[in-house]
Amino acid sequence: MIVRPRLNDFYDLPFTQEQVDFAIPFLDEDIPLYLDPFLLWKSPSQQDNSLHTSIINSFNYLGSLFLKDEKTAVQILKEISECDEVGLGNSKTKHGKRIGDKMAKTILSTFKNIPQIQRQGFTHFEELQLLIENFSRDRVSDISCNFLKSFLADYTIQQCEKYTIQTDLIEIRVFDCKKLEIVNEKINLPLNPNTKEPIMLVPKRWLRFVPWINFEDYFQEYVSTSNRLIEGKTIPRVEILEYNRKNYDQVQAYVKRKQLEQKDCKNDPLFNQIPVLSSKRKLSTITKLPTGKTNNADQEYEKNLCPLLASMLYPELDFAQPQSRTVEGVLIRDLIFYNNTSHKLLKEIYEKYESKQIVVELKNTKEVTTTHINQLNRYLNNEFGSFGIIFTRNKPPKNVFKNTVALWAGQRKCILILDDEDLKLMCQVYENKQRKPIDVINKKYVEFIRSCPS
Amino acid sequence: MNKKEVETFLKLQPQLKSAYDEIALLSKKKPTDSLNTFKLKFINSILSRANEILEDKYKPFPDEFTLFNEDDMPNNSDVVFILSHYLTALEKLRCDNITRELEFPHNWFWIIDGKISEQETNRPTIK
Repeated sequence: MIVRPRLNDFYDLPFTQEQVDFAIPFLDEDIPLYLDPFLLWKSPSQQDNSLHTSIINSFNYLGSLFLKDEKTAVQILKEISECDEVGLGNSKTKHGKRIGDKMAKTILSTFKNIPQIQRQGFTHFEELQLLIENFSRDRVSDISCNFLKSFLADYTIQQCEKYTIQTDLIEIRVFDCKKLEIVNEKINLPLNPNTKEPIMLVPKRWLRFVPWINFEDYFQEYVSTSNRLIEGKTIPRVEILEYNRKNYDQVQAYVKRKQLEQKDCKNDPLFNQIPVLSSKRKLSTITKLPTGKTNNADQEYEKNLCPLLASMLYPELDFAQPQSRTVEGVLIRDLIFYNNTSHKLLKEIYEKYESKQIVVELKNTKEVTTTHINQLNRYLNNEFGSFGIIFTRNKPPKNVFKNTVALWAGQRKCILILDDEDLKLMCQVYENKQRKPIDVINKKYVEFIRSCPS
Repeated sequence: MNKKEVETFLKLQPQLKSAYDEIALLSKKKPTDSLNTFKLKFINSILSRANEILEDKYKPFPDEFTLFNEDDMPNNSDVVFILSHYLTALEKLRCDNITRELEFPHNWFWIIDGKISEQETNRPTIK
């Protein structure tokens, strides 16, 4: 079974997150990012700007509808409050909960109760985070995605054709911005192979961890200077929201300032490499760590090595996740990477050893033994193929290295053992940028193959 | 040596020298840093031409070294070490293929196809 499977892993499509324009969806969980409409507003692309206008017009239409036909407006808002097809957010199940009647009414009542909004509508509907309790970034993202669904469907079809992702005809509910209602539409979309539910792709350039306009930022910039807070008293969130509803010009001033600061608003990448300075610190911590479990050194080793390897091997290898497993009463820690064949070594690993994912076992031991090799050997299965890496502290003894050569000769399984010296070289290469850190693994592989009987 | 080999030599030796100077500079600063594949490609091109004219007789390590393998990630000091040996080997080849004219001013000339040529050269630096 693939660990933390993504859409392309299921279809055996070898592309990395770096190479594609969209966020590659996970099959079992959401992408931990949100669509921020502000990124569409500030985008230099006319298309993105018009899509933002379309979101705002549609939302303001709901507001005006609420004033005339409360029931229909509430019904539409409830339905568009979740967008499972895009799978953005923090859900571990890929299913979110829609808002209820009460929440929908509270949201739409801003069109009734705030005169400025009643007159002009919203220019950035994410302002609702500053006005309504429990209206958070996932709602901003999901409502925006629902208003953009028709565009996202076209975008998904286009990307699927480009990368030959299989699609199937399926009926979905789409907000029609001409009819101003939700209609059923049959389109070709990729399906989640496990649940058969449709998947929509979202451009990476629209995604952020937190919307540009958000409550925490507002609190930090405006409310934190309040005398009450300085005196040590607290201001309940509800009180701030209530104040904002009654003094909407405050919110407008904040939004205006955020608009002026738009240059700083950038999309967040799905994976951030750690800076070189941080990599040096982590390496220094690792090399100073004692071997074994003294003072939880094994956990420290994992804590430091995990971000270090994930960063150094990016973008050639996308990091899937760390995992722990117990074998014969011993806790083993692994790092799992997706193999997207983006390097000649990875291509060879994919073709020769059939590894769709690469397992890197972390061993903070003084000496790797044949038992460790055998444990990893038994763990290498279908998805991990016949290739594995052990990261350890010192060079393996000759008999252990011979054992790995024998494994290759007998079962064509390749287990590479990298130590602190190799890690140092990887960090050096990561810093000076003359070669890629993955070349160090390639070097070890070439050396290993040279030692194997021809 | 024949005329073509001398021509190749005359182009190759300064190329090798400037590659050596460049990498030596890098090596002084960061001896253990890996050399990138772009530079390695050109160094290998120089070495491959050098191997052709040096042949086994003059190659610095005829059994152990032919060209750099980019998979081995050679570092700056490795490359400087090899280039310096190749520079010496080329000079040795030159010294064995030049002679001094008998008459005054006793300049040095290349021996081409076993005969003293009109192609002047510097005095030998290796005996």
